[in-house]
Amino acid sequence: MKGINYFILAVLLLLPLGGIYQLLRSPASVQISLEALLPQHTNQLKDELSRLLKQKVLIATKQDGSKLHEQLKQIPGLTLNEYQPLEEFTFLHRYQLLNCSYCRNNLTDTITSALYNPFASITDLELSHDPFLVMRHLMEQPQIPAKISYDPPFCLRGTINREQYCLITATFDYEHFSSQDLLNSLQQIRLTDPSLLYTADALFAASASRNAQNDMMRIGIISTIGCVILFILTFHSIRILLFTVLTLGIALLEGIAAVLMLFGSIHAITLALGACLIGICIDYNLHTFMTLSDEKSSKAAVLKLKAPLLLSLLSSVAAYLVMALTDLLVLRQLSVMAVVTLTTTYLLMLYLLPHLPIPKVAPNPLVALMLKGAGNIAVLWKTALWGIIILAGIWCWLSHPADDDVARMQQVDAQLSQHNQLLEQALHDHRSSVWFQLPASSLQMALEQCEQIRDSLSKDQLRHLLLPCSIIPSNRQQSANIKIYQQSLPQLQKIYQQFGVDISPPDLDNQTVFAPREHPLYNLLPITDHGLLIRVDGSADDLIARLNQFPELLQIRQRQLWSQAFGKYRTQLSILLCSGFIIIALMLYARWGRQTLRIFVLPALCALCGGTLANVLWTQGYMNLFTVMAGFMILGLGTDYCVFYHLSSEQEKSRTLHTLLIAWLTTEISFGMLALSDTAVIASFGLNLAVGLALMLSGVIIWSDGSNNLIRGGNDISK
Amino acid sequence: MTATRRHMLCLTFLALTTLWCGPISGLTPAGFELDNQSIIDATYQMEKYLAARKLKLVSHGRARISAQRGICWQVTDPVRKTWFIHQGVVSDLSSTEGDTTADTPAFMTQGFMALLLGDVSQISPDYNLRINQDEQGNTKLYLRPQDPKLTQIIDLISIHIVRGYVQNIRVVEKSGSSTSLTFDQFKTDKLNDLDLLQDCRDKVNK
Repeated sequence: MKGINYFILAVLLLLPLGGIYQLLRSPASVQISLEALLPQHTNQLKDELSRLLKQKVLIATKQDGSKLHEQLKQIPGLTLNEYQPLEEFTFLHRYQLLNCSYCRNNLTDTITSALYNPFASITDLELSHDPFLVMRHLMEQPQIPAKISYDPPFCLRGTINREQYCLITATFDYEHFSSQDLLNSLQQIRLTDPSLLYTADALFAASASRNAQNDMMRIGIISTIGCVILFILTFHSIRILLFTVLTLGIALLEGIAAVLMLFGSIHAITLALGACLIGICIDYNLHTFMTLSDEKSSKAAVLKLKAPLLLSLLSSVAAYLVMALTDLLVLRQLSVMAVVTLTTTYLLMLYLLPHLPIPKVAPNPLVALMLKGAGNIAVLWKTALWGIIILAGIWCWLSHPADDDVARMQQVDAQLSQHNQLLEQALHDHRSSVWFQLPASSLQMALEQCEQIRDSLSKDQLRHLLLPCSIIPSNRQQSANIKIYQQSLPQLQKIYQQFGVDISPPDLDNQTVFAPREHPLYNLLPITDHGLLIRVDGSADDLIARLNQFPELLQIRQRQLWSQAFGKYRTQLSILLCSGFIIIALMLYARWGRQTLRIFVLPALCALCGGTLANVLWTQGYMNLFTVMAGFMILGLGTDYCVFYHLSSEQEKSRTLHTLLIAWLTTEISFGMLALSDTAVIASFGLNLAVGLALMLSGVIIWSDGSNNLIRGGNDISK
Repeated sequence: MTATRRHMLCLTFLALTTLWCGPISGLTPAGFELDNQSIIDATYQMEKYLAARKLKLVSHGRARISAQRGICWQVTDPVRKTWFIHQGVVSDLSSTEGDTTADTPAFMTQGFMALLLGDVSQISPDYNLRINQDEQGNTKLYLRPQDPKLTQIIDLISIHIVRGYVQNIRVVEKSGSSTSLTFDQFKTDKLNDLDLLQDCRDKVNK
């Protein structure tokens, strides 16, 4: 028997090493892609084109552009776009660039208008070098951006708040360089140049991540200090703290290793959600430490622990296993991680801890005071107050629709938002942009498809669009353009002769097509070797709807896709929460029969509703995926409270109360503290959990007529 | 074609678009004194002299100008053309394809309107302004560009105002080419409920 124990222990201790090795060998095993979050077969993003958008950086200054250019060149990963003067190129390739629609039907009108109109009449130079009047028509065409002028080699000149700015476009390699460093560098430059404005997807991500990190760091430090104080106050020993950290670490690594083995990788969201398992695992630790310190032999302690630990484990495992039935990868990974982590903790409690020297638990005056206080106000809790909480919570669930918008889940930097709005306005002449992808086998193919789309849109619609093919025509279009001029030349000469004007006929026979890369604005346009992006004014709803009808166009809706994915997760998790609730209730019913209603169903319902109610009162009803996750934690931990409290004998009640209170305080200090976060989504999670767990614990004890037990427990601990 | 000449051509286009923009502060309109309900009706002669070819293009026509409702500009000789200019949009009413809209920048047509009204406060600060006024109250405005790019193309713009009406506008280019617009037979009418666009369209075929 001993041999088997050691074997289990050896396996338990060795397995995490496999997980660590896999993570060290291939850090890419941690997935962060959106696609993995979505249900299978819904991947709509083409990596190369969406990367174009994510790489885009726009920077502007009122001051000397060349000085800023020099400073920006020093930032690692940032490549500044430079371009050649536009005018010379445009003149040289004017016959390739302009599709001369007026040449076919309206040439006479066009020429006579130029000869006799009072506000832009023909010039000597035009008669000598541009009798088709191509340049003036090219100038009339909307360029990108309409209100921007070019100041080579790197400045675009635009007006922001009635002041002239130099706008510099760049790309940032966010995959190999730190966006955080980019943000820091730009903020550093802004100290010497207050007019500096900047925007990029990478900067928003970096800012949100830094805010979240600062937030978590602040809360994490307070939580850690709180937990350490609580452990030392309770056990008067650093050893217990170290054992707890050790067992939690092993169990979590075990879970990660299992996911890596089964799925080949683990998603960052799985890791984040899996971290909540710590809350349950730490309770197993506390119960084991308390029992071991109280019992004379470790064998007796293990015997006492086995039943409640097993029941608690089975109920949690059953609830998490339901997740394996979904088609969402992250939830399936989470179910495996939960089952393995909880089982490992259970095994470690039974096979590792009894062999460790556990010190005697010291009486804790704070816990005693809390128990006595709770006992005295218990009568109040038993009254209609709980009914009100349940009813109010149900009303909150029904009346507050969930908000799955991912944009609300992160803290948006107000300064970056303002910069983004100003730069969008200056560069694109509207406040927001919607992007479409046009993937193709080659750039030429994409340009040709783009031209077909352009030709099917009205002139008014084209004003709200940036079509790369309107700036750089495909080879096919260029050849067709030249041909029109060649065919129209005899008619052109005839028209001028009619008014007694001699022209120098242009040399159209030697015109050849140019490659897209030769165009001075190539770097500014959102094009790759395998497609292009089309930008649309975000407020042009009809046009966006029209473009969605083209099968070759894919609207880039990352925010919407994320929100949809989160919404789908929330719905599935809500169903799973209800299923888990029923499964646990049925398991407890098998042990306690009808009493289950009193000892588990009502307290759990009250806890879930109370958490929601607190959320509504504090965060104006911000319901999201993470509030449902908080529900899972309340249910998991609440089951443990119920199982441990009701499986303990009358003599052990004081010790169990002591343990439960410490376990609850630990969770409140670590997870409940998240309610103080500045990030709305974290705060809603923490608040739900903090209030829900408090109600759950008091419910488990007080609904079982435990007010006397509380006071007795308090007295026992004080002795 | 040399690079310099290519640049000159580009600068010509630049000049065309930057000729009329921005206010000269402290000056009030000195030309047609139009209230919101008045319309100026005048005939004109335009002489476009192309120095390189020693060619003179002469045209005649009629202009109806309202500060609020736009300009109806008709060429009657040697071709028949009619444009309607309102709120920065130029429509060619005589086009064989029906009404067509030319993508002329709004500031350009507004600048043209300012020139017709002799409203120099609307004309670019890129010009040095000299004003000569005689005893009869007639005014001559001389605008010389001071922007280096413009000075390569435009030599002088002169506006001659007689008895409150712009009688002549002349743009002289550095190349020696010039455009001269001379107005005659002024008539001021009350607009009342006249739809200038419809009126202009009616006159296309007359």
